[in-house]
Amino acid sequence: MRNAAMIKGRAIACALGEDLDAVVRGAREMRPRIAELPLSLAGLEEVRPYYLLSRRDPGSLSAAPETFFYEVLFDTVARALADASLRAADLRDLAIFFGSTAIDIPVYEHAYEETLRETSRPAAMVSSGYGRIADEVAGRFGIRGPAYTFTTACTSSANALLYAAAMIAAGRIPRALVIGYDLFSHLGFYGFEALRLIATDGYRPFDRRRSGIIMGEGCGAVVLEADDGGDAGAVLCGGANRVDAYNVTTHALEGGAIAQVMRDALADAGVDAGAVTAIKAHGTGSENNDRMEGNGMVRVFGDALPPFTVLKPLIGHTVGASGVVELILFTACLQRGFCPPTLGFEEADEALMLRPVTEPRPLSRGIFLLNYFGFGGNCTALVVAVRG
Amino acid sequence: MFIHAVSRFVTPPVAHPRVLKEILKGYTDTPFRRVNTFILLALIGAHRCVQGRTPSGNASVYLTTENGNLGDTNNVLDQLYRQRSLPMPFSFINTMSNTAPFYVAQSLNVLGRNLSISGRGLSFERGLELARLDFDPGPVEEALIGAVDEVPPGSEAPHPAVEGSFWIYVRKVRNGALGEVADVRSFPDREALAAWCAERPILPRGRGMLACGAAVPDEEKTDWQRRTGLALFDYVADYGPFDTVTAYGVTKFLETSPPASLLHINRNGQGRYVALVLHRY
Amino acid sequence: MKGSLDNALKTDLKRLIIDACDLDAEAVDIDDDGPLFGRGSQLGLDSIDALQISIAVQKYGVKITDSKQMRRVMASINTFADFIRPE
Repeated sequence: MRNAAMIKGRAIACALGEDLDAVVRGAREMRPRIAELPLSLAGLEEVRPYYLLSRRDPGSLSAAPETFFYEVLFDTVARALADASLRAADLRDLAIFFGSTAIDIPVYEHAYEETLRETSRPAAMVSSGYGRIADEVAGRFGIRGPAYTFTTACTSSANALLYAAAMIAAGRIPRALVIGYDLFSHLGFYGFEALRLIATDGYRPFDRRRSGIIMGEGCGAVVLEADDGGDAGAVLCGGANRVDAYNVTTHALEGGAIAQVMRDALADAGVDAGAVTAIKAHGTGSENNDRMEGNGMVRVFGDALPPFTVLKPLIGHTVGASGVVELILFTACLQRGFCPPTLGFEEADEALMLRPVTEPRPLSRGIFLLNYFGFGGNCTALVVAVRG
Repeated sequence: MFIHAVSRFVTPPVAHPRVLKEILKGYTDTPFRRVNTFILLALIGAHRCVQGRTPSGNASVYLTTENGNLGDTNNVLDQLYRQRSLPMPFSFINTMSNTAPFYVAQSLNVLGRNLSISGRGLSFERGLELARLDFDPGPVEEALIGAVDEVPPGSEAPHPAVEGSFWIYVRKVRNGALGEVADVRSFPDREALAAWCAERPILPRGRGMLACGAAVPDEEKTDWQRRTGLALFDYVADYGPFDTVTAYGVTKFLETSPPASLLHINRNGQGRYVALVLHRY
Repeated sequence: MKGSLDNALKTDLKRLIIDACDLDAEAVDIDDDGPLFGRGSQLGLDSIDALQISIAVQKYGVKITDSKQMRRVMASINTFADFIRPE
């Protein structure tokens, strides 16, 4: 297996909490926290579920968004840097890899609304630039390495991880800070509603009664360094990205591109499909995702499909942040001895007949495949070795 | 990473995406719908770049951008906050900037990696850096690398007067190339770049040129010229600064220069630097 | 008057579809009875087009709530016009 980048420090903020032990406990005990948010801005009387950050007060979603945005981000990054025990000199040459779907939309849309209220004419405004957030992190922590921002929808921070690990493996940089971050935005919430993608009847990926996606907020930060070859920790040892050109919103149902990206990732890591211990599926809970991902997995693994699970019913679909957030949640659970279950799954979809892990299952060491897919046909798969 | 084709498309903001759609018809028969200004700019640049060639089905697409989609983001915010309606689905989908490299990949049937990359003030350089990593030691053998930004709709001065789409088609194979991306290097500050410049001559005097990005002040430009002893290739003055001006300069050099080498120096607002070294055969 | 008998309404609907779905067509090109959705249909529209139209059509004061209803209502220009104005 290829030597690559090991996780030296990590921190998370999600609906299950911010303290990693508490988050893992929440996953083991299957206690999700789901808020209900009104669709009133579009004149609709219904509500829709949403996994808000544990520190959020659902009643004050629009209060001081810029302050809140950077508070959560800086706090999560500070905890990850502390967890990695980096010295000031290590910070200086740290490279930043940032991935997000909405980038600064939660801040920008609020400013837009305020301007509209004051001037009552359509505001011609400019976002502060996709690269700004990574630069704000650099400025706050005195980081002077290069900063890369990835905006590939729901694979954004998975691609940030892929490139950070590849750069470390190639010896181009000594260490990297990888961040996945997406907060609630009206644009995203109402946009998913306009696409009729939001589940109204519980979150049940791969279940025959699935009714869609529930979005969630998340911030995850990891510090990666060259693998020390020791016998502990979690190591990113390969991955791949490719595009499924079938359609801008949906992947081809037969799962060809999905299968190819999984194979490419395993080849990059130098691992045979038979060596995979378990899979973290993307599992958004949309019919298209579950069918194409299920078909893709069967193409690669045939009858020997390893156990697979979906984390989203625990913390919501954290869109662009899911790359880093789900990596942290998944590896933290494994390092505490179990594979987290797919909450909400009861009955298999007849077209697939695939059953994910439904109870916390004893599992710790091994080689794991992590899938991420997104709009724009984006497909990313990562291979992670957990050594305990 | 050898450069096999280059394209430049620069235009004052157009009144309606329809105008760009007409221009695009000059490069491809593929019909496009539900696409916006940002996507159309990307398509024009990419299709223009590969005119008369057939890239490999495994080629990758790296789209670099400072601001990504602006027009449809404003449309969706207007639908939400002013019209108090659900957004139009395709306006919402197109707020995600990776829809642009998606349509490039779909229409050219290039199904390798597909990324939208930014770095404030240094987006094009960051894209080149990641693409180089994918070429060596990575598995990618062919790619389209572009820089695309639109002028925000309805904006007034001092916003830039032009928008554009600039692309290079790169391959691992040298045969038939017109040039090469020889180096991309990041530096934490000006001193580190100066030390690198002092180590040895980066480019031979006489055939070497120096260009500086829009964020490098004039007095600093003079200093780099003195340190490197290279003749200045100035492109920023053509249209003034705009979001994709670095890619404009690089593609202009590749399209118009006689055989020569270029050292391109750029910085961001925090004083971090990137140097590019390109050869035009 | 039933919507399918009102040519002005039907022309408006055709223009709305052309605009919402960014089609390279004129209202006169669209047949009142021909299917609109699916490969091989006259416009080749897909499910996201249907969502796009369902939001654009809100200006007529109608709401289409589920995708099955959407497919039925938008089977053709005539069925669509009758849904907007049943009598």
